[in-house]
Formats: sequence, C-alpha cells, structure tokens
Amino acid sequence: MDVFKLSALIVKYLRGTRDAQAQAKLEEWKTINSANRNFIEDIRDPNLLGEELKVYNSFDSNKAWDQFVITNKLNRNSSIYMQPLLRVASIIVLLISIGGVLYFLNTMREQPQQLTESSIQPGTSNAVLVVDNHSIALSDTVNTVLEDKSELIASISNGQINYNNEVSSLLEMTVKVPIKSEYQFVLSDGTKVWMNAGSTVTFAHPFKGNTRSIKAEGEVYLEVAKDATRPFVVELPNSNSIEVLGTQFNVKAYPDEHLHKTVLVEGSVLWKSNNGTERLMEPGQLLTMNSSDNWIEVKNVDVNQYIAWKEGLFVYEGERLEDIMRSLARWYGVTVTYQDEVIKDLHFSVDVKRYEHLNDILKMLEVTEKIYFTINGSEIIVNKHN
Amino acid sequence: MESDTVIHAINSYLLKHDLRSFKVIYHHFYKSLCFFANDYLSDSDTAEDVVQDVFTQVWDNMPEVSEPSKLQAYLYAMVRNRCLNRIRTQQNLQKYQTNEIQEIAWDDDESVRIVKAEVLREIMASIEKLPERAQEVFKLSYLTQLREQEIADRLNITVNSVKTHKKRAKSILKDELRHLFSLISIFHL
Repeated sequence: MDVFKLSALIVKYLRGTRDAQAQAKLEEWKTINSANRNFIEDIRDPNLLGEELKVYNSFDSNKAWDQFVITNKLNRNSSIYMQPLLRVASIIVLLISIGGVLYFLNTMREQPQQLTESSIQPGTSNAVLVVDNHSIALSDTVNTVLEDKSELIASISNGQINYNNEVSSLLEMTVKVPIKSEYQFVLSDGTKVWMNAGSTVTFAHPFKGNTRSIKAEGEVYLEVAKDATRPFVVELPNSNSIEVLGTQFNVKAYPDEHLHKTVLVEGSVLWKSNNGTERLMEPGQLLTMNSSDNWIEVKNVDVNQYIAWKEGLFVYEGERLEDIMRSLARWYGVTVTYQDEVIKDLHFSVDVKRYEHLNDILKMLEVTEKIYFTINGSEIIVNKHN
Repeated sequence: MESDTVIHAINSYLLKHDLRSFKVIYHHFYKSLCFFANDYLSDSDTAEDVVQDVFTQVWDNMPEVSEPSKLQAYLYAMVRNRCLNRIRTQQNLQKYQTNEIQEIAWDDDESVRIVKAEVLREIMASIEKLPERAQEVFKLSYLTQLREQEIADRLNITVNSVKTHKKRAKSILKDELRHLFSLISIFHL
C-alpha cells in the first residue's frame, strides 16, 4: 500500500472516523513488521508523542520561507505573478505558429474535394475563465484555486466553478467559450448558464449591490434562480438589456449578426432597448431585434427550435441558409463562402444531432438538390445546382 | 493527501508556476520534510538545509508530475536521496546516482519515517486549530512542559484561567482526535 494513502488512513483512524475497511488495512499494516507496530504504540504514548511533536514543531516554516524568498530573489508581489501571463503568451504564440504550419500544409496538399469523407468533427465542452488578465482552462481535467490577496475566491474542479461566497472584495470574471465549443456552468446565486460556441459571459463575484447583473454576448440559455429581492439583469451588446425575476430563456446576440433573438420559455422578462423601448415578454414569445435599425418584432413561436442546441440538437424550420450555416460554422469551426449570393436566402429545415460530423449534416442539406458543398480544408463552399 | 487546499495549490502550481500556490505547498510540507530529514541526519540545522535545497530545486525546475500526490512522493524522495548522499559523503563513500522521478520505492524503515512525518503534521494541524489562548496554553503545557504557575506567569493570567483553557483544549482535541486522546486522556493535563 502507498505510504501516503496509509498515512491518510491512520489520520482518519485517529480522528475517530468509523471505517471498517480502513481499520482492517491498518491492522494488516501493523503485522508487517515490528517498526510499524511500535509506531502505532508510540504515537499513543503521550510522553513519546509529546517529544516527537516538540521536534516537529521546532522547525520554523515562516522563517524558512522568508529566507527562501530572499535567497531566490522572489519579489512577493509583482515579478513572479507575471509569470503565468508570459507562459500563456508563449503557448498562444506556439499555437499560432503550429496553426500557421498546418494551414500551410493543408493548402499545399488538399485540393477542393466533393463530400466524401466525414472528417469535420463537432465541437466539445470547453471554456476559458478570465480573471484579472489570467486565463484558466475550464476543462474536465483542471483543478485549481483562484485567490486574491491570499483570500480564496473560487475553486475550479472538473471544469466547474465553486464560489467562495464569503469573499471580502469584488472580482470580475469572464467565461469565454471559443468556436467549436459549448459550456455549461452555474453562477454564485445558483443560476444555470448554457453557452453556445463563440459566446462570452461576464459577471462580478460577488454580485454588486442588489442586482444580479451579467453581460452576455453570443448565444446563452439561462435558468435564472428565483430571488425576488435581487433582480437578475442581462446586459446585451448595444446597451440593450433584459430584466428578469426568475425564469428560463434563450438569448442570441452575436456581434456579427444583425438579428438578436430572445426567446422566453418560462416566467416573464422585461426586454429593454438602448433607446428606452420596453417589451414585457410572455412565455412562448420570440423577440427579434435588428441591431442595425433597432426594429423590434415580437411573435409566438415553438420555443423548442430555439433552445434545441442546449439539448444537443440543431433544429431549424424554414430558416435562411446563411443563418443555418452561421451556427454550423461556429460549432464546427469552419468558414463558409457562397458561390452565389442568391443561395444565402434559400430556406431549409434541419433537425439533427449536434454531435454528428459536419459532413453528415451537409449531406442532408444536399438531398434537397438545390445546393451542393465542396470542402477545402476548413472552408465550406456552397454551390448552386443548375 | 489530507487537505484539499494543498491539492488545489499543487494543481494550480503545476498550471501557473505561481509563487502563491508554491507558498501553500511549502508551508504544508516544510516541517514534515524537516522531521523526515532529521530522522536520517540527527541534526536539525542540516535537515533544514536539505529541505530548503529541495524546495529551491523544485521551484527552479518543476518536475513533470501527473497528479498531485506524485509531487508529495517526489519531495520525500528528493529529501531522502540528499540525506543519504550527505551521510555517504561523511563516510567517503560514492554518492548515489538517482533518478528521482522514476519509480519511487521505500523500504520498511523509510515507510514508517514518512508515515510518522505525515501523521505528526495532521496532529499538529488539529492543535493549531484550537482557539488562540487554549492553543498557547496547550503548547506551553504539553510541548514546552511548563507547570501551570509558570504558564500563568508567562501569559499574565490566573492559574484558574490556565486550567480552564487546558480543559477547553482537551475537550476539543478529544473530539478532533478521538482515537488518539481517548487513550492518553490520563496524561499530565
């Protein structure tokens, strides 16, 4: 048995935790040799234990640490703390250069090809938490802690953020979900957040004052925790906002799209535009705003279509091809070009799983015989059937 | 490993190589590693030198460890190897050539030494969780072995207060370390 696991076991035993298995392992360890047996006996002898503790406690870790910092010229506050940034920078440079080489190789080798192999993989669960210029990957394998002036702010385990709600200072956190990714997490008030590819959510921890305020960009589904004393406000791009009191809704507001869509699933929300227009939304309603001229339309819809992405589906009913392809491009990390502008306004219906290879979805669109695709590396070209 | 804070710190350190996480790791293991080194060297100053040396090396050149508990084993292995080499130098023997990151194995004696160092840390951690005054009184009584009157004089409190603080410390520790203190409840408190 590993000595460290065994040590933990003995401590557990001393603390009085009842654990039959631990007890059995300990008994077994005692019988291995006399040194083990003596240890257990000695530690129960108050005089011997006192002597050992005295030696243990004679080592001064504070003094030693100060010496360590001085000898290794470690400035406590600034210089070392810059190190993570430098490391992040070098990783990014590396990725860019690798990306560049790959792109170069791809363009060298690959000739435009018809849809044959299913090679383009869907996105995965993946996000980055940015706090005070530091980036932390929110993937399943990362366990880390966030501290500010040696105060625990939050810990990250298995890709989830666990907040310390007793913090004394306020810190701004940003969760960024890149292209080809999605991510789900919980805010400190218990509100659940689903984020689609290419989205950003920014919030303060703890929330400022009596308003739970977050900034959102891209496509986000929110299941807001009920708290009548603290309204929940989502600030959207172009200074529009949504005020909530406990509800479920989807908001799609990508900066590179003119139409920003809010769909209310449950509860009620007050939608506020930057020019003072307000709309009280009811469940089942879709509010579309054209960000170029602030035109607003509210209509009743089947909400499932708009929140299907969070259930792992792509559902489009009679949507413009350009809008469909934009979602696919974000999820599969591809770019889309059109052989003819007319194609963008063709309407299609799609109902597929998000975790299929892109090629399978494209094949379904090809069945209509209105269009066909050619793939050149990560570029999808949409062609019109003659 | 006992404490989640340390596991968090190790993970964070592996990721960011930051001083703040390293400090948590340092304070967590320092006394245990010194105690362990002292078992070999029977000289507390040299033991502290060895441990400082090990931490300096880890800071300069972080080993590639796959999981937090590996770092713990690695630290102990580094301390052991340096202690053995110091002893061999004194005896004019050839030094060990060791690859510390390879499979780390412990013989029976070493295992007990590690277990002792690790267990003492956790017992001490329980003592350090006591309320401030109770902790002071307990340490002066149990570790420094002062008599009640001496403790009262040193802390400028009455002998009765000393008794109260002792009782409090004892009852908390009895709860914290149930199996340890149930057997030594008769000790001179």
